[in-house]
Amino acid sequence: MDNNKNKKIFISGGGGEKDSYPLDKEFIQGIEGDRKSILYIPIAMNADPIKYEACYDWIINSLAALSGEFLDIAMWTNLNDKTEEDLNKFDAVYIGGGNTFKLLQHIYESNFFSILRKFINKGGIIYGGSAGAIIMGKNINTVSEENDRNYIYNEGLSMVGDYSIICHYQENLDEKIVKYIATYNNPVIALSERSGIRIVGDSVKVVGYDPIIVFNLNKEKSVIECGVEFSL
Amino acid sequence: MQNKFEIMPNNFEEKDFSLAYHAELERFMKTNKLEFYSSDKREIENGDSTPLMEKYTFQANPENPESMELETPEFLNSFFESKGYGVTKPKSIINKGGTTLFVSAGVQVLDDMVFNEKKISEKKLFVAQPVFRTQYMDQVGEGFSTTFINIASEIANPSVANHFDAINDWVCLLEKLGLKKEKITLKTREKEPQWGDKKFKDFILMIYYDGLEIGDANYIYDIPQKTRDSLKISDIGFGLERIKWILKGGSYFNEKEAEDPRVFDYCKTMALLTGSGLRPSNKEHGYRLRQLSKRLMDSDKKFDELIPALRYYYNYWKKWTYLTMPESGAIEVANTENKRNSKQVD
Repeated sequence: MDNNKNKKIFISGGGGEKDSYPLDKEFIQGIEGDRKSILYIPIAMNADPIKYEACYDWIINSLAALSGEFLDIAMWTNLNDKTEEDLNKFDAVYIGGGNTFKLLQHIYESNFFSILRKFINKGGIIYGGSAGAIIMGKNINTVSEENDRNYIYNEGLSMVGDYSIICHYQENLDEKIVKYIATYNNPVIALSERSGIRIVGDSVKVVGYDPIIVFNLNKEKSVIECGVEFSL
Repeated sequence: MQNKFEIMPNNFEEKDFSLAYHAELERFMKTNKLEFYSSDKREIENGDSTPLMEKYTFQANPENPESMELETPEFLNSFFESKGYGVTKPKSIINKGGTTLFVSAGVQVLDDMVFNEKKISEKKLFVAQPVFRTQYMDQVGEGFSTTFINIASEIANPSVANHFDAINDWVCLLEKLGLKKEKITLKTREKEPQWGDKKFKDFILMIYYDGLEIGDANYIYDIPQKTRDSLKISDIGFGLERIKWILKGGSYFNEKEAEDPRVFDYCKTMALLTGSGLRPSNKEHGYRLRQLSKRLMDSDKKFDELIPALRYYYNYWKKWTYLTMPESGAIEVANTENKRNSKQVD
């Protein structure tokens, strides 16, 4: 479990830019560097060069509209051989959606895992959307159906205390979440596409249009409304 | 000549495509005595470009003069015309409609057919398309540039055999340019990519020369259409600059560019964008122009020192595509933006 007081993490439920507007706005406002440089990592996506170009266009259009200032957004489609020095050039990292297992496998196998942890511990800001959000939790088997290629990694970055994360939440996922808790013994934060959380140190604030749902180890659900803060 | 896969019935199933494709691939490789590429390099499964090696054998001979045949599109146009292709004009780099803000591949000349369900081209097409890969902005170096010319053949609704005939045309071109067939290797991939809301299937044949990825041949099928049967496309594209690199040997860049590849690459791309009428802004297309300029001005170059390079590249692009902005206007827009982002004191 990570107890770092410097961490600033934004976790989105995986909707479009209109759904995540309040969270995205707080994310952009939270970037303090002169350059406002953001690294976008879309590698969870199964993409060809044209798709990656479209992803890059999308992130720029989504985030640039939220800032009066110029945002310098870079994109990495391969994490192999990236160093701490490379990452420290950025004020924030945005990890996008796609296949959660594919994303986590590449993060581990490229040794980016430890670099990202150091970046977070130094106060670097992270935004995770959908797959990028789920890897912030303790275990990614909340979306075990995405493991379509016998991926071997399932331990997430544990940036949300003992919680695992599930995105695109709807009530019909309750049974699956309860089964997950019974198997892995982790509480779960469930985010609809219009909800999100902002974590600063060990304080969590619900940011979005919808409340979040927290499933405890007794598999009981509690609804936490937008604007409410709680501790990890 | 009609071959066995010339006519595909509507109920031609996926397994039939796969069988037909692999049978043709085997025949093609046997006829041309080609082998599969193998590499120990780590690759991610995204269909991302194969990482470059430290050194290629063709680099050992840096004395070759630049290939005059590839300095303008004429040689390529006449080659493909002689093979029965229609030469189509490249699109403006500023993409209006389609799935990306800038044209990033030759196949995008078919965007109207794919996305707007316009008339299906009956002719085999060849295009020398300037493209902008914004994803390479931080990777500029040997073998990588943000803008380059994607030479591509595009055939609508081809049979599998038509597709391999087209690959043969490309092998013939490469040999004519002086590349040796025995140094060509191949790698196959099967993907289900998505462009905008169109999800389809793609048999990909990656093409390497001496271990360097120089192009790919895509047999794309099942592209959904609302008003007609799904489409198939044969899309075969090569990076012209990589072919020129092989022919030239030594560095990917010319002597001047090699002094500071990133600076010259960004100038080259800015000249194409401003020549195409783009103006800088904080969003949409103009964002990229501003981003390039800001990064350019992070170097120790002074903005006015870059004017000769901007002019040089404007005239380079003019040979390959129609630029809507006159040279003086294009240079003025680029220079004004560079000045705005410069830390230089007048």
